[in-house]
Amino acid sequence: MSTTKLQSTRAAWLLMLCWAAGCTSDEQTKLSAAQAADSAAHGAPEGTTRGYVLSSYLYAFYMTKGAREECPHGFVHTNRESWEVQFPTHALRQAQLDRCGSLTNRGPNCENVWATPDVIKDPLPFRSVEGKISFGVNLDGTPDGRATERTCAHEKFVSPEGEPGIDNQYYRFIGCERFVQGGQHHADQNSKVRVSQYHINRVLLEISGVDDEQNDEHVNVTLYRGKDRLLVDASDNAVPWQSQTIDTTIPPVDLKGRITAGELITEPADVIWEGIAFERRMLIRGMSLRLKLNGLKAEGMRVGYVDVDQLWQSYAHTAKWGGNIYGASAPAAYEAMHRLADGYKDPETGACTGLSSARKVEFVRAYVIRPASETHAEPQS
Amino acid sequence: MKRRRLLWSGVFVVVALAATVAGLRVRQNLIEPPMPGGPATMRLISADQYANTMHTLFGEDIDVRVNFPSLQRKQGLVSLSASTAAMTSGALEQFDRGARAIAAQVLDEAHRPTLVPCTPRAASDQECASKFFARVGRFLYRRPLTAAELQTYVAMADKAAQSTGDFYAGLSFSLAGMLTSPEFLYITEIAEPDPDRPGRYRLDAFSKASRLSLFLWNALPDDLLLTAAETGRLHDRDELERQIERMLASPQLELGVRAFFSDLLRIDDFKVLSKDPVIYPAFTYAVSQSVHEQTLRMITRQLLLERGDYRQLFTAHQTLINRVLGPLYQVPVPAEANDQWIAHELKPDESAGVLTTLGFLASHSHPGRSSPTRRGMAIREIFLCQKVPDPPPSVDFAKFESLSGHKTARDRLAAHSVDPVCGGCHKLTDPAGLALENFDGAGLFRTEENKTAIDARGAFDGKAFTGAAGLGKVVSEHPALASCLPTRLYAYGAGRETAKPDREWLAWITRRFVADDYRLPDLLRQIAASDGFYAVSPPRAEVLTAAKAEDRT
Repeated sequence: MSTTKLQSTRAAWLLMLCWAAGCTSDEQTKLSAAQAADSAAHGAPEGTTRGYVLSSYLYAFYMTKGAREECPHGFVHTNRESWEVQFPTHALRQAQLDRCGSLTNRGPNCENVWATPDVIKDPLPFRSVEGKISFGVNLDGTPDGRATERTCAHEKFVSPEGEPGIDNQYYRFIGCERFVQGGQHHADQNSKVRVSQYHINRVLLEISGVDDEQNDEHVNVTLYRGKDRLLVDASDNAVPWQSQTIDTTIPPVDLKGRITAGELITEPADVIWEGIAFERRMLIRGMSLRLKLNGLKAEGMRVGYVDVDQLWQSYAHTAKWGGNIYGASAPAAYEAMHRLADGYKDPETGACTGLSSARKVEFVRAYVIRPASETHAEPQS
Repeated sequence: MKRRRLLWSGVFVVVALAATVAGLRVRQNLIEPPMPGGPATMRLISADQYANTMHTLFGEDIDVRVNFPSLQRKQGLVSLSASTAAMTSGALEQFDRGARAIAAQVLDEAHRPTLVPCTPRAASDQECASKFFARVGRFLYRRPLTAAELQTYVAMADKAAQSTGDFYAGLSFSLAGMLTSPEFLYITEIAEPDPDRPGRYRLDAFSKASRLSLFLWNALPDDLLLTAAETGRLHDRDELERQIERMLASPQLELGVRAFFSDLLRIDDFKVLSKDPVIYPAFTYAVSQSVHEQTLRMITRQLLLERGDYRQLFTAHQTLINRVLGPLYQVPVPAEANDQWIAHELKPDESAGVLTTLGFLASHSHPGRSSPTRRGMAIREIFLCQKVPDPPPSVDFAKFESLSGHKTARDRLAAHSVDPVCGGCHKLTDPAGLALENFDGAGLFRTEENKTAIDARGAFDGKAFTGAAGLGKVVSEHPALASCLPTRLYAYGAGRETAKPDREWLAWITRRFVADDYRLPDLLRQIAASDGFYAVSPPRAEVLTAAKAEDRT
């Protein structure tokens, strides 16, 4: 970003502050004029700022009817199935229940397997995705998923459009869960982004310093937490050009990026993604946004590595509610999650600590409003 | 003889001069001409008046849920039908249900300590009940209760209290009865002989207080006004003017102005606006709930807060928006709550004050498209007090709908208006409506329809213009605009339709309005302080007696 851009951005910032402070129309007009004059004086095109609000947040899961392609051997084994194998006779099962009180307290000393998933090894394997197709991008840079200094060996996917080298181990791990395949979880999560009363789920995006909406080598991207409800139209779609106020108690995320052929690509950065719907606040390592800037929308993917430890906390919290009938068996899931981790290799243990992932995200144009007098948290990066 | 002639000549000159001066003073708006007035009215209380009364008397937290019967619009105002509104058994049932719910809240444990002025000694305490009903009844009936009325309500409450063993249950029972009484539900005006003008009638002091309070505040009289009526001082001009100034300075004036313009602009229609979600996805339920507020806030800001010229209501380029309306105008709204509004400057050539508010444009449109005819008709009927005939029963709307080859509304209407049965009225309505074609059926600005550029030029009653702004200017300068507002305001306040005998008085109040630079507060003051506003015709029985006597002679 050039000096000119910085100056005009400052003027734009002042203009936004003026809005937030409740300036009169005259004051705003003067500031707009000052902003225009500032840009004109430096003889360069003014870098514009584009605001957005998250309007859709979906798993980037490739799913076929009946999960026949991705889960040909069926869905994950449940806790009950594993329990039945672990205690193969009626007498043993009754004895276990009498001693430990629950199917999930399957450890040698009645430990709960969700709380201590490594206390036993499940007798049944964890069923992960076996299909060849997935959404996502090539995150490790290898064509075949071979181990590198910073990544672990893993199997690659092909994108639905036929692009090879796709990394999405998160999908491989969770894609054969019943709650994912049933679709309800998918719909529930998105509805919580859209439904207006869930203002806790608001994510705001601002792209600043945009000289050319099709190609710009350097733009700044900031993610904010919003605190307003989402305005939706009669068809439950987010209304463009709504005003959304930044929640300044949550640190913003500053990213660098570029626009190539109308697609925004941000440089990878470790980012804490605030919790949305069922998901808890989570660290996404090497996070990058790949968004097609298309009129009133910015749609594409959020890719990066999900931290395994944090994912387990979130997964265990959610999955255990699936119970013994629908939920996975914790020891197998825990083992699989670590086995499938493909990024951020721990140099000491050689084990990977991140799962490559992709999310489908959609933003609509919005006005990102800065509150007038609140303490701003320091940016993440 | 000569001296006598000279004397008579002198008398004639003096009388002629006096008459000329008086005529000049009338023409110069200094003397109020006589207003025959209509009969004293008996008006059904409106939903807003009912709610305002409950909230003023018992507190804002009282939940008021009463369904009021819908009334027919007369001379552009629904409130004019209140004096002919009948009470059906179904409506009475609704009022009864609402009254019981309100009475229960008023006398629940949370409210009784503040609303009941005494602590009962036992379930039966007639003295305490009497204090409660005397106070409440004075406000509800807009006059002190008679001894017989008070005794009736106290006795009813006492009987109920004795049978339930609960003093407050007794009060609640009797209060519900009071709230369903015709004395409360109907604002009944009483005429009395005017001592200053023998043979003429005037409203009695309590009726005068009610008419004044409903006119300026859309609420029943407060304590000070009732006291002025009780002492008879309200008939004194100085006291009347003092009360009017007090009421004009009160924040409650805004409620009164909002009520009048809600009626005039048919704001109730705004609240139930429904648009085709496929064609106008942005016109959501939340939008429909905000557009009426936008219009009313714009009016009260322009006419009350800024004491602006009424004509500028049609030429203003500023509107007010909230978070819900911001996306429709594509502007950021810094306020963080929907009930906070900010001023927004519109492009001068794309705005015409109230004519280009979302509510006005969207409500005078079809669910899926704009309607130049409806918009033009609304401008003539609402702001110029002109009556546009209803379409003939035989009109074939399907024919109009099938004009698919025509890209714009102008083309469709031109083809439709070839039919001489339709053409006459469309000449009245369409030119103004077509000037607003740059706004679609949801009130959003556009430059083309079906990929065809919109031609928003036209002429309105002989004056050429271009676009909405041009139309706004022509309407603001229209000769009928100045007389329409005072006429509607008088009718609204007096609760009756205006008629031919009122013309001289209405012409006078219009001249005052113009002389006061079209300021609404001044117009309200002039009307409220005039004799004409309180003038009532002789009671019907007396008119009939006089007519019979005339027949006999």
